[in-house]
Amino acid sequence: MVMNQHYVEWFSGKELPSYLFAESWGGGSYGMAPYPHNGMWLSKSTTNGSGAAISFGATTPYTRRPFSCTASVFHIVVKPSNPVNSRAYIGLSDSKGSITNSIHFTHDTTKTTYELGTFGQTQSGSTAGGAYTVSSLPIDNVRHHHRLESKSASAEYEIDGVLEAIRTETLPKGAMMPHIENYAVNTEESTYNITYLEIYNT
Amino acid sequence: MTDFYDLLNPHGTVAEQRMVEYFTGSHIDNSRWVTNQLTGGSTATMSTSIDGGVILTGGGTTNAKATLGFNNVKQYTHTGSVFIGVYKFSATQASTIQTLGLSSADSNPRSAPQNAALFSCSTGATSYYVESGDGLNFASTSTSAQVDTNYHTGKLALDGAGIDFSIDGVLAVRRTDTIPTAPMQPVIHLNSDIAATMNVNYCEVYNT
Repeated sequence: MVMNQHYVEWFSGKELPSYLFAESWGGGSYGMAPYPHNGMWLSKSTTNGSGAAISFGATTPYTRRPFSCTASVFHIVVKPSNPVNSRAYIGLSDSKGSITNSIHFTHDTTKTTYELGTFGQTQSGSTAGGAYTVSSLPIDNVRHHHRLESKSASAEYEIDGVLEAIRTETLPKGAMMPHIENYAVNTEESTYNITYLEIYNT
Repeated sequence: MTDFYDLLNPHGTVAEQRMVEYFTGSHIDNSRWVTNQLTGGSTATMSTSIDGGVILTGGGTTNAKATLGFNNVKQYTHTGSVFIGVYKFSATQASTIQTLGLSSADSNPRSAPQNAALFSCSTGATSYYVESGDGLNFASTSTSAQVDTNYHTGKLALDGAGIDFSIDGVLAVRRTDTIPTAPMQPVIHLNSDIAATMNVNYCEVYNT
């Protein structure tokens, strides 16, 4: 069997790996956490609309997208700091927006639970749109293991080893890269700590 | 295709912080490691030999040092963590100290007042010993495991009450006093009066 593209990041060391594109705006920040169990952080400041993100691309068009929309798996271990006023899009996307062509989950404190989202509008502008499916896990500030899988006719979302959501509509249509964004239109600080990221094509 | 995550973690569990370093490539991963302490002409570079990994080489001058660390980013806990290194020492003579493990400092990692859990071949010794620091004092325990110039796997397991040191899967000693009291980083350290070398081709650290 020939191995497909496979990527593992531990977020451990003196700074973030240079192959990740990290950015922040409005007073947001990112970096390697200098203490145990927290890997790297993505923080939003008290500035309305501030945030921070990591991906594989700095500018459009986003060409570093090695992961399939029909046969890929995404693992992450992430801990939100704030269960009240924060929002993150976490998964795979064709761009630095998560609502064009993507599979992701949301930790959105305006919602009740973690949700699986799939969007099928590519950078070239097709208009399949997207939607979300709820999980059973209430929004919290606990470290969890999340697993997303893109299949040819469905998208699946597991939390801590339990299948929580399946979507069969508005699936992504093009190649993707990791895109993890902490962004909210409010004046609250929030942080997401990531200790593990694994992505591969099946 | 297998989920690497599932190879390392029982299904349904949330992984703790981990790091695996293979020391393979054109240069040391400078976003992960820092060589904060290269003195007396010492070097730390990628080996060009089979199985060579990274090689630390003493500068051949008195008390020359080479140290790899995480720039004091201390992500591994004193109450539950494991350090594993695959290494080869070039010398067992009295003029060389070769050390791997965890320390709160990436310069002079094996002295007070550091928090540390380390295994060493030290000056004048022909057997391994385990050193540790609790942030105030530093102490060591000798083992009966003899030092040689072959590749070995050294493992330190910290559980909050002590430090177990194993070599090639065999427990050599457990230290229970002067154990670390604060988080640490992995360190690889050479201190030699001669041009001694230490190769490391695998390093893994994780919180339990």
